[in-house]
Amino acid sequence: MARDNEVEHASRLARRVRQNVVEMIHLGQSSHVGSCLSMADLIACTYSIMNIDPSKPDSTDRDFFILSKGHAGAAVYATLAELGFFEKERLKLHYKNGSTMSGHVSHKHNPGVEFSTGSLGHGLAVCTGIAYAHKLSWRQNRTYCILSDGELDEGSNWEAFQFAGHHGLSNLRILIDYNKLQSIKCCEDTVRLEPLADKLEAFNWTVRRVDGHCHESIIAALKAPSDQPVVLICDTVKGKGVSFMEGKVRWHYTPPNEAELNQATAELGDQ
Amino acid sequence: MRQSSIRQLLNWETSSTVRNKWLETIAAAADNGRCDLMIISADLGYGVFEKFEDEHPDQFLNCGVAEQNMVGLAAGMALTGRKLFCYSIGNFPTLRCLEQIRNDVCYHDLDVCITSVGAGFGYGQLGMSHHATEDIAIMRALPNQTCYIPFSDANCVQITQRILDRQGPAYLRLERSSSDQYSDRLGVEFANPFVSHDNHADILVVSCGGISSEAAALVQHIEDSGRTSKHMIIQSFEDIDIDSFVSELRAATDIVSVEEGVLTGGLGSFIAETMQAHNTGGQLFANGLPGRYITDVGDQNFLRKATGLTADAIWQGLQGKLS
Repeated sequence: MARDNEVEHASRLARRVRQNVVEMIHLGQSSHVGSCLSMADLIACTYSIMNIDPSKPDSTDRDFFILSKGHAGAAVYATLAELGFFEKERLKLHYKNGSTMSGHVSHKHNPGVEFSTGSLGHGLAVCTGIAYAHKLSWRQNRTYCILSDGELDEGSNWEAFQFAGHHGLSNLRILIDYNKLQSIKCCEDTVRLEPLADKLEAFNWTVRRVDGHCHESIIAALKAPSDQPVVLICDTVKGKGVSFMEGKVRWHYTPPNEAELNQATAELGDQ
Repeated sequence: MRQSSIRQLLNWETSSTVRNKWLETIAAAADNGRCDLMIISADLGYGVFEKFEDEHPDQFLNCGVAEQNMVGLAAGMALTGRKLFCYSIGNFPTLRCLEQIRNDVCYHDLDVCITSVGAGFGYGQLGMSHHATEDIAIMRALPNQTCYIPFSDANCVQITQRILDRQGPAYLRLERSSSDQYSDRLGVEFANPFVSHDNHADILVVSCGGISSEAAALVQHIEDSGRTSKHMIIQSFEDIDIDSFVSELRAATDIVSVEEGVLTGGLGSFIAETMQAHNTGGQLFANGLPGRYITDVGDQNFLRKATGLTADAIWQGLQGKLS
């Protein structure tokens, strides 16, 4: 799928994803709006360079994307709707009784969603398996995965990091949504991740640290070649784009009320 | 050192002929063009997989001692169209990565067979960490999971071929030991349940897996006492001719189950559930492991004796209770 200007496309897409998720989470009275907003730029950039075609969601040539931090599923649904995988009206059904759009991302009856996640620490191993199989078959597909920082507490990720680094899975690109906050406190005060870059380099990954809200930097880092698997440590802000949500753990849990939605919409419209 | 000497020294892992039949069946399929097959081992199988890996290097992977990653990898590879066998021993490929099996394999209906060698007390002397005794209960509780429990070498070939011919999640529970039980009666194709004869019998002895040898001896005790008995072996709870199974349950007055696993949720529970659901009548005497961890040290036969899972002990326990 060709796009003229990937950075412009990502910027437009990120803005639409942000607007969609605050509406969806308000309507559904669900959670994790802060988690969705912090990764909006990451998912927009990723989908702006992926080889995908909404008219052929099962194409064997397609790139794969799995959201390992499944609680930000609203961002995936919003992205796929904007790209034309399904009609945008369905987003209003997010989290509603009888809907297909559970709070944690679901592949069941949601075109374009490759894999259901929700328990942290699963997505990277699955992506590693996809990448390994593609490498065995000499295929050109790329596999992308977004993880959260708190998720890196799960040991299963490190099994996958070791494996991918050992096997040189250069067709694997992951992005860590490094907003430094997890469920209760900041990562530093929960289980320290630093020195994260050093750890990942020691696992034989190519590590690129980027501003997680700069589309040009994210795309460049994703596209730059490597003979190792690539991880982007993306410095982000939880709740990015909505001033009263930025940097606050509360927005991991609380949906915006009507007034908060209106204020958020106004702020996002100005961006 | 010669390979045969190495294998003798390491016979705790290389002695399983049931496992060898499993591998031979997969190897034959790979030799015959099944390039979609893949075996992933979590760093176990010394002296077992070398030949397969030499002949099919792209179809074998040692992922290291990382069972959660093993199943995640398998799920990912299955998404690209491969059929996976995830191999380890005891509880490692089941309990250690149960959530990956549930969420990644079963929920996504992926073509991954979790294969464990060392059912029950197969690795008895190694201690409770290696006693695979709750796996039946846990694996059969997973929706969309199909459990297979071979009772002999030949039955393992049937079951492995069955798994190769089907798609979807599976769990394969392999004995460490070898058995040629009922080889003269076993057909070519997989048929579940297996019954020792087609005549009527008042007492139906039902078993699964390698302990079927004790169950067969129990049938002999019953017949020696002047009663009629029949041996039924369940090889899968999900891939089963349920009408045949219910018919056999209904025909019996007493049903005695024998399993090398905890009673809660295992074979006995499966029988009880079926009896209740189909109102078959009769009374069930379920024999399995008590609800405690086994701290005795001993091999499989020793621990079967220690936990009352022998034909003699079960027969003694039935005295005065049968109809």
